[in-house]
Amino acid sequence: MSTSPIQPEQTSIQQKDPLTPNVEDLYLESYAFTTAAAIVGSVDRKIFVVLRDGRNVFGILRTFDQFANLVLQDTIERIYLETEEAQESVPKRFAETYRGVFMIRGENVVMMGELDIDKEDDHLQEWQQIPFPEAEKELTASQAAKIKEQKLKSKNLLTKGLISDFAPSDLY
Amino acid sequence: MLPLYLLTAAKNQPILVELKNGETINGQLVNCDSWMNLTLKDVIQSSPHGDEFLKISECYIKGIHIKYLRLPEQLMDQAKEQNLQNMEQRNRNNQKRRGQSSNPNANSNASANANSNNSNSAPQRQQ
Amino acid sequence: MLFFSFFKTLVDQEVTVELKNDIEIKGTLKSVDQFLNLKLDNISCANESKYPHLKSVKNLFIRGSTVRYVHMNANSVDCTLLQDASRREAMVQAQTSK
Repeated sequence: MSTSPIQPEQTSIQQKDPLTPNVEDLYLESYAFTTAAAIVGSVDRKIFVVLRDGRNVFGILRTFDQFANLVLQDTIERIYLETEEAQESVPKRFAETYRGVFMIRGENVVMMGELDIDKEDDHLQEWQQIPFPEAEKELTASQAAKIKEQKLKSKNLLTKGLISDFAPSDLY
Repeated sequence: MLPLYLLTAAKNQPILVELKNGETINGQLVNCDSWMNLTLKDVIQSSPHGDEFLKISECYIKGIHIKYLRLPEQLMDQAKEQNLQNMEQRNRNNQKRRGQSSNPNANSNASANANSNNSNSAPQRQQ
Repeated sequence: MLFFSFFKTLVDQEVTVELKNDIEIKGTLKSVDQFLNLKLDNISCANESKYPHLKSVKNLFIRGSTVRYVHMNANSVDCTLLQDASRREAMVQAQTSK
């Protein structure tokens, strides 16, 4: 290991402090178009992750790797119960539960993004919080209904010679 | 510190694994490898809807079937401590090898390296 | 590689990504990688009720395997260049498979 500071290859980029190189800049300059470069900026920030099974997970991103495996700390899982029609009388409901340290395998991620911590709970003002087990039950019921519907659809499409790429594990 | 490194640090600790099919496996992590294949002991396996439970003494999980893992809270701090200690140990060894006797250099090197390694997955360009 | 290079030319353009679950997300393409994972800035989501938390989101990383379509401005695409690149790619493929 050399004791000299790490110098980015393109010296046209301004260098704030040569002794403590900014890891993000290193990635962005020479590894610009990689998975890691896209994720490194979000480390130690509050992020949300949508998983392939439809879960919404919120936590502080601690580490990640080239497969986009993520490790989140202080994670909470939130269920938003979808409302079909925008009715004023029916309150939109959500539920939360604490999950602690969460390691997500990269292939199960649909999308992830940085949250603005000042605004992250704003949208919850219009939503009513309900206990998690209740929300979970309702969610699994609606997912089962959706799966049934999709399977029927796939069957119908097949009779017409069309293939449907529905996977019952992808409920996002 | 990469996720798989954290997982290795979780050996002998209780973890929860949820598989892609929704089954949850609760047990003590015995071993893991770079493909996230795991061996667990004193395992309780639950079905996707939590209606059936199985007690298994030893269990092997293929990494490709994992959706996510839940690890103990204190693991993060423990692992970071360990990492820091390993880094400092390595730096001390390197300095002994290079025969550097000046202390200020040693301190700034250790802290600079600790800093660059705490922000993860830094490309190992120091060769 | 071809579409990876193509997306690189689209960086800083506004695109709309349609996912396989029919959700549309508009944003500025900031980064792409070899798996065609996309990074978008300045998000706005057409179907707000599905992901209500997206309102407070600054940037988004979308896994390539979940994308169905990417809509872009027709002006930002050079079709002749694309055709040329495709032909070259096809020739390379033909040679490597021999």
